Amino acid sequence: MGTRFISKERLKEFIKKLEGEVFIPQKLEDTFRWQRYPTEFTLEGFRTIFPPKYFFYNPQEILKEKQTNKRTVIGIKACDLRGILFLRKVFKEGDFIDPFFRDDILIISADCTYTEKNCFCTLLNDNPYPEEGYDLNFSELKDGYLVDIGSERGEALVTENEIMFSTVDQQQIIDRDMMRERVIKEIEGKKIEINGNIDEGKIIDYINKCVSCSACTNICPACFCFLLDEKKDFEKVRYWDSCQYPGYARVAGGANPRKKLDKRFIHRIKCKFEYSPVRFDSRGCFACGRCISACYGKINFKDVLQSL
Amino acid sequence: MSYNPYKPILSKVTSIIDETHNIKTFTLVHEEEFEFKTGQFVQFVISEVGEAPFTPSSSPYVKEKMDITIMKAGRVTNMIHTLKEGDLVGIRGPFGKGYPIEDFYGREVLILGGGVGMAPLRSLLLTLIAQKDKFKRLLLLYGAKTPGDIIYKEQFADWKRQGVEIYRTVDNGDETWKEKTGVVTVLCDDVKVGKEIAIVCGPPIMMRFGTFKLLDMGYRPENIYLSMEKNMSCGIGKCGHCALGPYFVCKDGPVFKYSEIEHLEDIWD
Repeated sequence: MGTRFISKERLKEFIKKLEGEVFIPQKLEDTFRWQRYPTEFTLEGFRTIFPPKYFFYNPQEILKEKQTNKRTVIGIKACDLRGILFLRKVFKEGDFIDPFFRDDILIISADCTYTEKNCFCTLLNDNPYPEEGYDLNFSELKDGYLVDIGSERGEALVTENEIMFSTVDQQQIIDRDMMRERVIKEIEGKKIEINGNIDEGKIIDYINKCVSCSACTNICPACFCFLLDEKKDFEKVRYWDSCQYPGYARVAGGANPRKKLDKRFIHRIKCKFEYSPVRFDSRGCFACGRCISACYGKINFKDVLQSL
Repeated sequence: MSYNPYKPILSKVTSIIDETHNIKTFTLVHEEEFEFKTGQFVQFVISEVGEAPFTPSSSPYVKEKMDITIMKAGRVTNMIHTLKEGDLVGIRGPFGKGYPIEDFYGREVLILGGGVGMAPLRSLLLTLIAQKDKFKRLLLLYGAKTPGDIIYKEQFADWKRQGVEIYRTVDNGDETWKEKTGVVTVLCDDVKVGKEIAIVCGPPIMMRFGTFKLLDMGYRPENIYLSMEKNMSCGIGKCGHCALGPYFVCKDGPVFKYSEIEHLEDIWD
């Protein structure tokens, strides 16, 4: 669908043209946080503190009316975009469709321009730049951005604002390729390959540090589990839930297949690397490293996976 | 908005039967059309309280009403037991895959049931009886803790008249009990069977030892059908609670062939 160029100044104008609410990262210290129409924003760096999952799948919602307010999320990084595409498979494909998961949000993704210490996408053979699933993707260059058009919706937006975009020259493509190569090289370490049985013995020291707090699953861009609660007049509310809670799989009468910590810990790994490929034809971890940053027990999930 | 799978239909409780001291059968008349296949389950919803999964215990051929037999086992079922005739409840579903009845045609079907596990089996049995000429032979082996814990007490005689061979046992008998004593697997030693199709439903420990007994007898893993109880919640394979290996019991089950799950961990817990 083609690639265009937009200058940094023009980008601000372009964002003003977007309808509805717009979320975009703001840099605070060395982190990136989602803000609604910030005066200062950036597309540089790596993924935000919280995953964009929040914009697509509400942590607490009444299952009555689908939210339809116009919304654009700008600056979604490759790992998070893969997470959104995974969640879309979970909620929007199969025998039953969840009507509440949002698949109407305009997605404007962005290349990572540098990484942070817990990023490990390349160790799972993923790239630190979006490859599919976006409406538009921005790759930051010195004076502006290369804009890849990924959908008809994206195409229409560019066409409507044609005056803001210019054609791309070969040098800009070369500059982007060099930037991408540089970012890929930033992540070093042993490649992760998870095949077949998980040897609990190899990771028991990590398991013993887990406190079942659910930080890892809540902050994961791909974890999808939820709990249903019953309100008045047969109205339902759902809340994000976590397979790491001891009571999660318990049935009436008390049977509980994952009462023990080690079973829950291994279930999370298997869900992401063994079961999700069978259920959804996709891995359920995209190596954003947030679970490492969030872990109360200081468990490094990358190290866990590398140990297997 | 498209179909909302989380919204129940309304249903009125029209009769309540006390089966045992902690098990009741509720007859429901739905306010909308509702059909199910035997072995599928529904979510029984109590407004402002919660919902819990049950397999209907009535025949799927009876469309105008539906029976659900429920044991008091927790918060929601305790509330369900306080329902009175005329109360309105919600029903979501049906969910999952039922028993593949057509695959049993021409074959001997042995049903191994324990305790309140007889509830879904009653629906199955009524389905099989309705087309009994299509099966070589129907056997029911049923076990309960005590004679007082046997559900559907009045109905066994009728099933027998319809041609079902019935064997019963209780763990602890009393002076009135003239049938077998011991766990349900002791009944397996009393029957001469062709080892064709077996169906097991009951509490986890009974499912486990029942399945092992059937395997010992020579039943093939692909001919043993288990109705798995996990924490089914959404019913549509989204919420994650009922994960059993790569399966979601709510949509891939609750009926599984043993051969489909024998390699998975923790299936009996």
